Amino acid sequence: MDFNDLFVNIQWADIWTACGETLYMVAISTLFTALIGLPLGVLVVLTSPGHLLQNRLVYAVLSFIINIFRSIPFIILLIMLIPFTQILVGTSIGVTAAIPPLVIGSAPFFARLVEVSLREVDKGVIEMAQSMGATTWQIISRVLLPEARSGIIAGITITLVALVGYTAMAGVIGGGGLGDLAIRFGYQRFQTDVMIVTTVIMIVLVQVFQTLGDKLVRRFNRK
Amino acid sequence: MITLQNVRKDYLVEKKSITALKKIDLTIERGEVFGIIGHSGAGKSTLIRCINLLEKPTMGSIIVDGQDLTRLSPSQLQTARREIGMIFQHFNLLSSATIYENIAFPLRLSKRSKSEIDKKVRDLLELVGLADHAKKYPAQLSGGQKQRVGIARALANDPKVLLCDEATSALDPMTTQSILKLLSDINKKLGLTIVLITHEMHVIREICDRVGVIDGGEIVELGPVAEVFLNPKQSITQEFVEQVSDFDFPEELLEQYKKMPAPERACHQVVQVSFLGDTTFQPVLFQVLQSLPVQFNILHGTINRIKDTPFGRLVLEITGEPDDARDAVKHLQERGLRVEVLL
Repeated sequence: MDFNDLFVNIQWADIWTACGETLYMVAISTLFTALIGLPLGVLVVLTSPGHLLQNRLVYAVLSFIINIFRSIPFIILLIMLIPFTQILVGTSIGVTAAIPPLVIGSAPFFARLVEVSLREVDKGVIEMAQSMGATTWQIISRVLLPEARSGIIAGITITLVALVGYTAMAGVIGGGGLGDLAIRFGYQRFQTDVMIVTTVIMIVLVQVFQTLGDKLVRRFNRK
Repeated sequence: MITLQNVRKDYLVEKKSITALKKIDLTIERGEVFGIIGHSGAGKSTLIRCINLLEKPTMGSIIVDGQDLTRLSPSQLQTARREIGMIFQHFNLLSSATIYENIAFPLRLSKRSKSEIDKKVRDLLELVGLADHAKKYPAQLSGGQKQRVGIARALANDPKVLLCDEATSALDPMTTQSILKLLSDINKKLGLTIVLITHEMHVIREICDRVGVIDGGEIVELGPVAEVFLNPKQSITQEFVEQVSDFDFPEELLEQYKKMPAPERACHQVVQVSFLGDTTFQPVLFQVLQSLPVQFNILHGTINRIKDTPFGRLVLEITGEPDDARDAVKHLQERGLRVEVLL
């Protein structure tokens, strides 16, 4: 049997386009997730009881919002956010339209990961910085973030991998990407070969992301 | 240099108020090494952390170098804290930064120039004997080396005061000695005022000039180390002194004298003599022997040091006529020795 007979339904050009779309969605949404989730996580930790900027109200509100977004299934969030996406990026369909819901879906998740790694930072080190006359901003930028660096990198890796999965649902709003291809061709049209190829590519992507992430974590972990 | 006036600290634990410090009045002189000793929970940690306001006292004022820290605004307090170095039991180094960067940390906080930072850090690395380790990370160092980094870091801003929060409690005895020696050298070389807290009396004996004993949130005894050592008044102080005492006088020795018939007993007196400082090395006993018809028999004795002051304790049997023995005791006392009649 010829190799090509196994993959009769494969349109390699479509696969590469979908691959590009997935990478584009994952890259841009990871960037924005980090930009929103990192400060959010820092703020949650700082306002928590017994911490530098202890503030019950702010802490409760932030925590509540994070929990709300974390409890909505992504597929629902994607649809619920259509009007918001329309206002934000001018369209509610296509690859770019998938980015706002991806970011809003994963930023709270990432914020929790940031929170966990910041809480791991030794209280004594924060106290040391205070005793040396550090301002709150200096404590964040020179103590908390550097000390939590490898944990935050691990968090970004986890988020990146989760986003690869989320993009599969972006097809619902015409977002494209590998997952969309797998659903529309592989599942709905029973083209098993498309299903296999797209899945394998996604597995490879996840492996690559995870390996790179682990490498960076090891590089920055000095403990 | 440091004055604590009427300092009180209450904590709110599960809506119940717990008093950590009752009423502390304390003055620490410029250039001295002041030790605070107490059991865990006595309030010593709270006390030292009140000095740089890591703990804000509920009441009272903390005056460091003429400035009442409790009245400062947050930004003024940050500036004032740069004059007060601190080292910690668990070192509290930045694990993500090199030794060099750890020492540079306080200098970066106060935004010094690059060349100034480099010069200062190199000098400090030299001072604490870690010049070869600049590029290493804390995880690669031993406990004693980590504390040296802590000391170098605390000295970076040329503080007037150094606070040591159980600085040697996590170290082994040998390393403790070397860290204490380093602190003592710094105190002499830089004229730095050092305040340390500990639960180990040997730390006090090694480097402190004065000591305060804290118990139940109060300073129960205070004085020059030698005095507190030789004449502890409170039972808790006696306990601490016992910790380091190698003066184990076997009480059975006294038994044989008690059994003696009365006339013979009258001619034997047992006394404990304590020497401090220069008298330790003077031939005091010999001088007394020459002037009185008595004999000395040394039953037990030790010679030791309190910081730089030698001190010794002897248990002597004085044999001779009761009057002569009494005179001998008087002579010893006149020469500045502390004499305690045991029998």
